[in-house]
Amino acid sequence: MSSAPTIVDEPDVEERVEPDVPWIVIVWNDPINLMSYVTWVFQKLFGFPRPQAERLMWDVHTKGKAVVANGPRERCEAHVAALHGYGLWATLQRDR
Amino acid sequence: MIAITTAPKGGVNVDLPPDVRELLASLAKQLVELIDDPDSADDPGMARLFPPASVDDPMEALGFEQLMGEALRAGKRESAAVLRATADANHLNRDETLAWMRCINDIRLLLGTRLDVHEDADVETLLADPLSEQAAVMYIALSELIEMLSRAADPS
Repeated sequence: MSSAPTIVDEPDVEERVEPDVPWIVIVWNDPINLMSYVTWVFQKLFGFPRPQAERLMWDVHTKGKAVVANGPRERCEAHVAALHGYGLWATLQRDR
Repeated sequence: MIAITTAPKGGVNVDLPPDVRELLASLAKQLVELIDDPDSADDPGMARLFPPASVDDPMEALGFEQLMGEALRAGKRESAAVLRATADANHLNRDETLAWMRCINDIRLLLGTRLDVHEDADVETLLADPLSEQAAVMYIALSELIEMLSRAADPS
């Protein structure tokens, strides 16, 4: 489990020094977003070449979800917000 | 004639009949009214437009909503405003193209959620039902617009 250092009288948990556990961004399959659009958004947001964006889109479509990014929490939150801005259903979680 | 094509000078060229343009502007307006309606919180369409950012951690989802929620609502309002302002345009620059894609897709998500679309076959069923036929026709038209925009717009 978490080995975060115990900091007494530190109410701001967001500022707590976390162990180096990266976060991941997951995009979930949904029946409404079009495959062409999802591929386009992956190209646009992550700068993926089209073949890579298509592979990722097919992963989402056939497996129900795919990890599209990882890294520090703040960056993953920004990715999720950007994906929601395009109407894709994305979530973030710790990569355990 | 309905066509959205890559513009040589960047962005896209838009060839749409006036009634389609009016409909898009009207739907964009309705979208913003719904986003700004305090009673729309329980609307499943709104839940789809602003999904939880965590599948198993309500606190994470709540924190995300507090951190990003207003910016996301502002972004969708802004896209809708750009679409309404450029509804009559024959050419869209890159930012305007982006706004059209985001806004039309938001409207599709809303409509698709309300129509309870789970797979492509559902749309055929909706088309066959006089009660849902009109909404299904609109949903298909919005899908075609997104297809054309995704083909014509440069994602780089």
